[in-house]
Amino acid sequence: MSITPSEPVTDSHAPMAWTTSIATLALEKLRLGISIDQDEQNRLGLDISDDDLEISGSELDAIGAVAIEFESLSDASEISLNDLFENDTEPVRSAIRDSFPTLIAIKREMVPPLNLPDFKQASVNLSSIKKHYEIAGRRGLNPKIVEEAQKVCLELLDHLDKQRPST
Amino acid sequence: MPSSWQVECLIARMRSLQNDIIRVKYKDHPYLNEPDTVYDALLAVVQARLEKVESLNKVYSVQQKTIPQSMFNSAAEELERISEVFNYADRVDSARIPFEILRSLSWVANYLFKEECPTIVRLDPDYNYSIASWRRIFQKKKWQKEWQETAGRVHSTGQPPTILLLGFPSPDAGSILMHALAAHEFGHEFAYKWNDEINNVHKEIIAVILDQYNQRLQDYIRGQIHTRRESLGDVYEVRARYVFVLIHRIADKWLKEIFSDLVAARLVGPAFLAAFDRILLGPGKVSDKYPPSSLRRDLVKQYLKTILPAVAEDPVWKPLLNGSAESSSTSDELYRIMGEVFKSIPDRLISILRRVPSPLLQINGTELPLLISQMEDHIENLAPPSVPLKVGNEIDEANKFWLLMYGAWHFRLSNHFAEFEKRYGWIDEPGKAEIVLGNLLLHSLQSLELRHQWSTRN
Repeated sequence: MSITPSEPVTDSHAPMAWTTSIATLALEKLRLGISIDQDEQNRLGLDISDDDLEISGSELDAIGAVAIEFESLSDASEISLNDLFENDTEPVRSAIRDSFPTLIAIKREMVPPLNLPDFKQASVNLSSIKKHYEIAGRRGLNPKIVEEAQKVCLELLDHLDKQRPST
Repeated sequence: MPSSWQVECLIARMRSLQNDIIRVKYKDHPYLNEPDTVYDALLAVVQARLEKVESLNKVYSVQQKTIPQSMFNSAAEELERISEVFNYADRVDSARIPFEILRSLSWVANYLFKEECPTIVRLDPDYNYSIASWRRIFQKKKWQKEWQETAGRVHSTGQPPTILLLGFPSPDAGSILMHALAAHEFGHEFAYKWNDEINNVHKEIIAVILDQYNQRLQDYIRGQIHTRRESLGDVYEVRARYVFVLIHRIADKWLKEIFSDLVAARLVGPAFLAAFDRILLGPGKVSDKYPPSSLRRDLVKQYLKTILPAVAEDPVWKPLLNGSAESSSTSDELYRIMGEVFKSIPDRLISILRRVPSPLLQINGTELPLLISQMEDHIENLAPPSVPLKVGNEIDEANKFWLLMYGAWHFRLSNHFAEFEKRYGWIDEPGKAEIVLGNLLLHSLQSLELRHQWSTRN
């Protein structure tokens, strides 16, 4: 920590944005792998192999991390203002508090009424995708929940992107 | 949406950064392998991102789709973040760096934190002094995996090894007296180490704010809304949540700064304020990260009056503790509220601070002025002030580092300094006397460590 203030040049949402990007990449690989099997890929002459579509450890971790973040965002959005500013209520857990800047970033960009993405469902979807892949790979994975989860990830990325400080 | 050309440019930039890190890694430097650990960890971070961008490019382009702009921007941001961190480590070989001080600082850090703390230095183009742990830098950036893989074996604490990064202000790279600020910087490392206890104090601060300042907060929130948008309720809600986040952030940052100030006060007394005033000219600006310097000064004075009343009353330190005619008022109501709440902070931190070994407290009240007087006599006669410090007494040898720093600044701010300048004909050579004082201090610090090694081996 320096003695005098030095403004950071990069954005505080950057780590979350990058993790969400990796999770979105993983979901895109799953989506592609589910929708077209290897024979179809060969027939279409797509220059992509099963190895290219394999989800790495770091990508699975990213899916898990974004699932947790979505859960925190959902919990954060359910806390009423009264609870926030009332001394008698239990202090807000730091994990949920850490999500508030992201929540504020999203709400700032929205035109009222503020209809947030369904973070709760997205969290459930991502957790289920991760669990499924760890046991059985992409075989049998429901493409609809992959798409829905990816949609929310991209929404979050768009909101975070708008918060990026301009250079 | 980014074109394939733009994606190609991003990949090229990532490869250029890799090459630049490799180039700097193979430059000559006087360290063992500490900088290499940092460069290798950064290379691992770049490589991981490069692989993801290449994979992203392949997965989307094979479908003839463009990568979403937000994902491209996120990757570009990662490149910027890595470059920013690399800037901390690409000037570690400057000939102007006083490498002689590193060993002493590293020795003191080893003693305080009970782990090996090898050190590298950078010259800060801004007039700034900093000490940070590379392990913590990587953790804050969420790159801990790469640090752990590169830095090697994990301690019994469960943490991988660290390397300290010292930042010196480039114009005053040779100033040894500046290192009194190390006391404050080490305070931040303590705050990180004792995060749970600091968090408990944080909760107490928030409880006080919500209990006693709730109405003022609500007025502040309402006063910040400058819109006639139809859904005022929604705007208020967003604003209120923002203020909630802000009070937590300010409480967190200010608490750590003040904690570090009080750690410094325990280690080196008011001497760190002298070095602090060199860096932060004038009253400074209050912000979310930094409390007003008048508040910091008042709290250090308050704390010293409690634990070291004789030091607080020493007339030599008066200009530092009373400050200049700076105003402590701020126009922002939120900072005013925080300022009022923080007045009770030293009492809340007292039990945590007791864990920091204080050489000034270990000396008997009447012995300190005598010791300082002996040290000043030595300085006046161009002898190292370490000579009066006995080896093997109740004060741990590494902790005598702070006594030397205290003594040197005491001399610098006393009447003796003007006499010192006059005696050796340095009145016409501004700065020379302070350089000589710094050299005597450096010699003393090195001698201290050598004496310690000698006594432990014999």
